[in-house]
Amino acid sequence: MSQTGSILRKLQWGFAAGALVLSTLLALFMERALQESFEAEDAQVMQGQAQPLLRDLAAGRLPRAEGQGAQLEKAEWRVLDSEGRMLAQSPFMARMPSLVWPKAEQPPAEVEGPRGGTYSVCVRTWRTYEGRGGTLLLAMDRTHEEALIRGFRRTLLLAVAASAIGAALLGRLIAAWGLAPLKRIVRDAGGIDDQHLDRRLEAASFPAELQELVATLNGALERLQGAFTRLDHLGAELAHELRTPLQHLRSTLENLVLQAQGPQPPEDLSLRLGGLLEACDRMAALIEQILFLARREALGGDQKPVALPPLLEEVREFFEAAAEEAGVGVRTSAQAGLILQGDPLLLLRALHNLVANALRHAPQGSVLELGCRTEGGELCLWVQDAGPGFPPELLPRLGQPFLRGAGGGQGLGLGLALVKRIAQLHGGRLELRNAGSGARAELRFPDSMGNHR
Amino acid sequence: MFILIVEDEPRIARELRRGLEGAGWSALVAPHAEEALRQLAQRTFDALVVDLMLPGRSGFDLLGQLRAAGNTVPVLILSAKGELEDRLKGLELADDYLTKPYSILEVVARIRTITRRSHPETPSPVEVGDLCWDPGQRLITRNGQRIDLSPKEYALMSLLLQNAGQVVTRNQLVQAVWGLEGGVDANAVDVQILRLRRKVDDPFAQKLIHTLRGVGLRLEAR
Repeated sequence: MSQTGSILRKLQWGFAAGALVLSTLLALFMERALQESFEAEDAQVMQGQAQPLLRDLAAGRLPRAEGQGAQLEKAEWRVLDSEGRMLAQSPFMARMPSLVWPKAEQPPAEVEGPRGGTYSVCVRTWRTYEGRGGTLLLAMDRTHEEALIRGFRRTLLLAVAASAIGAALLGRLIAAWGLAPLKRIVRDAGGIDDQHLDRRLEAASFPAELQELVATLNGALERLQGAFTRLDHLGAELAHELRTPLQHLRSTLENLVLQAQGPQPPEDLSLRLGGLLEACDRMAALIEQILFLARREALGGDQKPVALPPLLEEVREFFEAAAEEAGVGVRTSAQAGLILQGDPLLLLRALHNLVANALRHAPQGSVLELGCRTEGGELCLWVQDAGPGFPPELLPRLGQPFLRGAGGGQGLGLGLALVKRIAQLHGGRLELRNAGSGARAELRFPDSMGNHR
Repeated sequence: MFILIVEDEPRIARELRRGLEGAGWSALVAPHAEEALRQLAQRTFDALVVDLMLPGRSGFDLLGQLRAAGNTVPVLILSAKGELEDRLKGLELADDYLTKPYSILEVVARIRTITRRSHPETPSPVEVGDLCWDPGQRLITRNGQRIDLSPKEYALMSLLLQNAGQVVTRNQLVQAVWGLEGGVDANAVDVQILRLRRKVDDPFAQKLIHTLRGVGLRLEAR
């Protein structure tokens, strides 16, 4: 919740700040515009007033104070002579408070009255043709207008504040609405546990921006489910498999303990104890294989270029004697110069497993073939025997750990699973099928070393 | 030879000591790194057998300190961790590395190897019962009759002869004959032994190659 909260807060304050900045700028602009238009108008009115007055004065006539009421948009005036004595003024000028007049000719300026109020004042010099002169003072009561502007300014300020708050609230609402799908992700993902590993998030029901996230999450869940299932399965099977040698250990030891108590020493002591040692070795091998299958994610740093023909020859040599005893021939059919980037020990092990398997099923007088070649951009390593072949009903499930019913006894339990994993670690795969007159096991890898060239 | 065993599990340590004494050596047990260092300060050992998982300071720390002090005593590491990275890391400080569960005979064999530095590899002629072995000429005879062996069979036989009277583990066999580290098809190894027996023992009354089930082979006139 806190993570969503901070996005929400960011958006909310972002909207508020944006609205604040924009509306402040707008308000300043509008206020300035209004102010300037008032000032421009003042200047125009005063100019309009000043011209006829100055003309009269220049002609030597004193302007007459009209008896009519001071019009609202009219400037009051006062004529002073060169000594500053008043010569004439407009009727309402008398009512004007004493203002601070500017010294020289300037555009109209705003001054404060002694008891508040704002006045627009302007000073012009006049002279007659005869050479007499003085100053003409013009003033307009702008208090009303100033109040107007101030009121306007206050209104604008309120509007700016309100817009910021409004934007914040509205922004928060909109953002919350936009972010609502995240809550759904939290809820849906929360329902995925080890009892419901196959649940996924429905990508299509989420907005476009979240689809990639959801798809990625689903991918991760898929991979985790796979790993978890593998581990779970292996763990269960391992427990089963270990029970058998443990049982053997226990029974034999129990008997030996009892017999050791008796009058006669146990017979075949060395032999039976030796059998126990073998049981221990079997369990150790199982554990090691299970660890290998459960843990290894990638090949790691022990990769190097492995020349395949010599590897096959090494395997053939290893099984030479055993094959001869079984009356089975072994031959290699290796395409020269093929190289695979990988772990030589693992590859050797995989081949050993496949050949040992084949040898177990090859009938007397038959021939076992080991080979390697490039095929359609892939490197192919194969072991072909002339035995009964894989049982067709088991074929799709071969390679699963601890498959039963394969007729190979203990040895087949993990052998093919290991080969399959070794192939996967090298970026390749294990393909098993019945071909020719027997079983064919193929290890196929992408040809990364460019052998086909 | 005087061996120091650094192992905290008392039962395992006891069996190790028995095994080493069975090979005709003397052994002391130190249950943790501090004790080991104390022992090493007091006397010289011909070899160390160190379990990495120790209470307090680990075996690695101990070895690190040892090597930093310039002590070049041969060390065999025993560890439950079998990943390649652990093995390589271990071999930076030690001379050999075995993972649990190991064969005590394997431990003995490896100690023999890592302490053999100063001795040249030339084996001397061996006699077992009526069998004679001339390594220089690669000749094996029984009762004066020459026995023809394939290269693999000869490799197997010379391993047995060099360890005459002692048990040789299957791992040692596989190492000697095929240069592999074990984990190979058991049947193929059995066949090799069978063929050797066929040539060396079957035609003669006295059997020299004996199997100790679960342990290994021993060449002995019995």
